[in-house]
Amino acid sequence: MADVTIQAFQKFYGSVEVIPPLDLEIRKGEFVVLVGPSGSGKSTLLRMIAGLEKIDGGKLSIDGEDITGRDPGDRDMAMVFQSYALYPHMTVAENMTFALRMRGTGDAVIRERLAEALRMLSLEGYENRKPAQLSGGQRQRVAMGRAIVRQPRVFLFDEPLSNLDAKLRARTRLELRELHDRLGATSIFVTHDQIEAMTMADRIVLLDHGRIQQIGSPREIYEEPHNRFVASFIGSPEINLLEGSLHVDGDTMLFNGLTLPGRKAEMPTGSEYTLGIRPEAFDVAPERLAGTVPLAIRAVEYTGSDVFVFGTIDAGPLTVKLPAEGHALRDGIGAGAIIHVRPTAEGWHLFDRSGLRVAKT
Amino acid sequence: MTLRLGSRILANTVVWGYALVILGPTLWVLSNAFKFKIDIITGATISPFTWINFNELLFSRQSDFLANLLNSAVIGIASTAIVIVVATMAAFTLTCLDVRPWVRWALLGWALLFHMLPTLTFVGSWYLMFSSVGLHGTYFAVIMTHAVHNLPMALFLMMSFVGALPRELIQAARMDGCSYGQVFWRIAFPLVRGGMIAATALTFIFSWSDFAISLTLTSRDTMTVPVAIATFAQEYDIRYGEMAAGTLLSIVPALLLILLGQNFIVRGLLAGAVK
Repeated sequence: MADVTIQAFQKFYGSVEVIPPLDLEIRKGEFVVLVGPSGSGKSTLLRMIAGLEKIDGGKLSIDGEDITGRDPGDRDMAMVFQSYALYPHMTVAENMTFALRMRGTGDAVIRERLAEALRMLSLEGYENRKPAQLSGGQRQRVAMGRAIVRQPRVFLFDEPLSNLDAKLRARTRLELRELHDRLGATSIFVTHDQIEAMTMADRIVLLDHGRIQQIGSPREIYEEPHNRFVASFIGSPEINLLEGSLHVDGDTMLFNGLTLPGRKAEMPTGSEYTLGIRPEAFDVAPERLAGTVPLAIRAVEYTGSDVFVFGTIDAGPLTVKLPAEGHALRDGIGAGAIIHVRPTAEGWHLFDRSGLRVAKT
Repeated sequence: MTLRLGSRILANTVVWGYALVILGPTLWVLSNAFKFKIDIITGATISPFTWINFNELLFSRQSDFLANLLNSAVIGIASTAIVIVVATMAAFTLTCLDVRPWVRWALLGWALLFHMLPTLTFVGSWYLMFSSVGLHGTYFAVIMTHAVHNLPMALFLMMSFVGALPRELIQAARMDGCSYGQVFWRIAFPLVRGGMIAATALTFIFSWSDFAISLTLTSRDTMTVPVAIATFAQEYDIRYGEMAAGTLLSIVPALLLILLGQNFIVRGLLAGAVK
């Protein structure tokens, strides 16, 4: 397993700079997830690391060794594609051992690694089937087996779970992460799904238009977003964002009528800010309390474990999550009702005009 | 689609009528192969059955038809082999490798241009070219000309089949350590075999039925079947019976290839469409 160092990576499509100079360090054994919306450059970045796209600028090193100009097959990396890319004219066994046979690996080694991979992925008995005779989940495992068998320095995953149904996706997520831990692998995983990113990653790299917005653990990204984009991309339902201005009145901070509890920040009053509050960061009551504002309910979503309330306050539209147990409000509220909400002490962020979070001091 | 009875009758009439218009004259001509000359000239529909035309064609001293069949076969197989190999490799290069767009467009545009121009435009020049180097009447001249003539069509056909291969398949092979040559032999070639068979069938038929090039570039020894059939129309006497017999015999290989190739054309097209 290996360290991967990316220095000043640049990519142009014609004259358009798709990825401006980008630096990234991935440590040995880490599971790093590149996540972002469509067009953010995450797949392009992965393909540049794999050698399938030309690196227009910058350097790529593995364990200190410069491999920028090398052929994809000479980088000792294995990739699992979104569409699996299994060779349709070869059996499962032939698919999985293809790379080893191309390198002239000995038959005994090939047999041993194949048997091990088949066992690990519960594919025993399927060796002689062709991809067309397998289910989607089985094909996905064959694609992973093809990578595992090679024992590469780095694993690359290009949205491998996108083609699976929701239940299978959740199960495979766990299996994939367990496999990574068992192999002690270095993995770079690309996805547009923030749930996958949050649940699987040691570190998340959030990209937008080719630029890194934030690198951090899932907890850091969620609780301390660098900017508006990060705050709104991660979290489901999306964070509430309200435009307005801040008034500091003695010890109280008011934002468009909302009282913001918590430590006071050294922020100039009256400026244009964006307030970000996650749906779970509210206290909710059926009647008015100190510091609450009325919320006119537009819709209610019941998911079994949570209740999400969609409505409007004076400051704008708001989504609020009702806490899990014992809340009197869980039954009997519906569209048209009024409840009363206030932000909790730790749950709010302020973003300035450029979108950067203003730190609470 | 359910049609009312009236519409169905009309549809059938149109379809069968059209088929009759197309096939009728051909079947009439081919039936001449089994008639005596007198019956052909008088235009008799029902007449005594005879093998005399085939006898004359194949076994008389005046006719080299068996040799002509051999010539057509040699030229057809050789030129088709060249075309298929070149077209498949070129299609792979143009679709899968990093070729500058202008090169791709120039090559395909050039091929399309010459595919559109009538063959007769060029035969005069080809005659002069091959004569001047003493290659007139050789297999080589006809094989090369057929290859050049049929390459554009085969190239376009193979490009659609190779282009249907998923890009990620090629990329996966590259990640597995294949050079582009290995990608071609181990991945692309096995997967476009159906398409290659379809292209082979079409190319062979074009070569087999070519008249203009063979007329200009062959001599008596290398004469092909279409030219041979034409020679039965002589100065004082048109030997309809032998012409019909020759036509019938020359249709057989083409018909077989179409029947065999048809499966692969359909299969090849479907295989390309499904991921």
